Amino acid sequence: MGTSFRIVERVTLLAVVLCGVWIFYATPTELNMGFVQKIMYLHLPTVLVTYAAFFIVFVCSIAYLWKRDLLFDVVAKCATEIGVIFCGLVLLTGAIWGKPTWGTYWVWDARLTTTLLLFLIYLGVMLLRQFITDREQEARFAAILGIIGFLDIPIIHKSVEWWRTLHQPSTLFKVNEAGEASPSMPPELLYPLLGSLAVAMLFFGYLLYLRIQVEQTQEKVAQLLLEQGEE
Amino acid sequence: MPMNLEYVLAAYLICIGIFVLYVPLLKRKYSQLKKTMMQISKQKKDSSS
Repeated sequence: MGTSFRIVERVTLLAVVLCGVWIFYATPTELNMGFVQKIMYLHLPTVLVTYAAFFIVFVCSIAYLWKRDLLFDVVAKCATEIGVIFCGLVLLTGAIWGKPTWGTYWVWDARLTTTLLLFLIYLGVMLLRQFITDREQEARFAAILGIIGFLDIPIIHKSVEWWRTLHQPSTLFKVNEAGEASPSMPPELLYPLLGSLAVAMLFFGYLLYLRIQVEQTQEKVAQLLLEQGEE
Repeated sequence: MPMNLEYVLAAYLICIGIFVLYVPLLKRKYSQLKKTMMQISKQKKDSSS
């Protein structure tokens, strides 16, 4: 991995640290929820990264089924792994935030349940890959499941509108009677949130690139070992 | 001390902990794979010469 990757790595680390300083030292404490509201700057970015990761899985799965190019499957595989990690963090940070806010770590409401379902579907995709020995078959099954799993995301997003849930509705923007959207929080809280969303996406990009490099190198080594065995 | 500090700390420390483990593990795996690839290439060169 070259010099440009190392630069991106250092920039990402610096961005994460500066974002942390901004959230804890320069952002005021929210009046209603108090200090525990700081978890929002972790929880929402992990949600965004989860959606982005599984969107990449969705797109690459369709691309693989269409073109049958294993590179798309490699990207989908790596994005699935990172998506599962971040989805797990969504559930964890949400539970930790829920205890002081709602008095419980977990309720079986629509949003939490559908998010857990998303986590289990993509964890299932990862496990499925371990048990299929044929590379093409593995890619095909993972692609089909990856596309089906993504259909849960719009359900998660709309769940707070469609069902009565404990989870609060979307907090970024509110729409008035005239149909105009405006931020639902003051700038002092909104800008750090937007900053943390941007930093999370940068971190996701870095992780995905790193994971893809590992996966491609692993496939090259497997190919070389196969050729060596044939000789 | 702010109220519910332990919840905020738990959330952030768990996230940091996971990536402090995951990223070095990935990088270690990458460097091991690179070493293996170089060894196989060297063996191939030696056996062909």
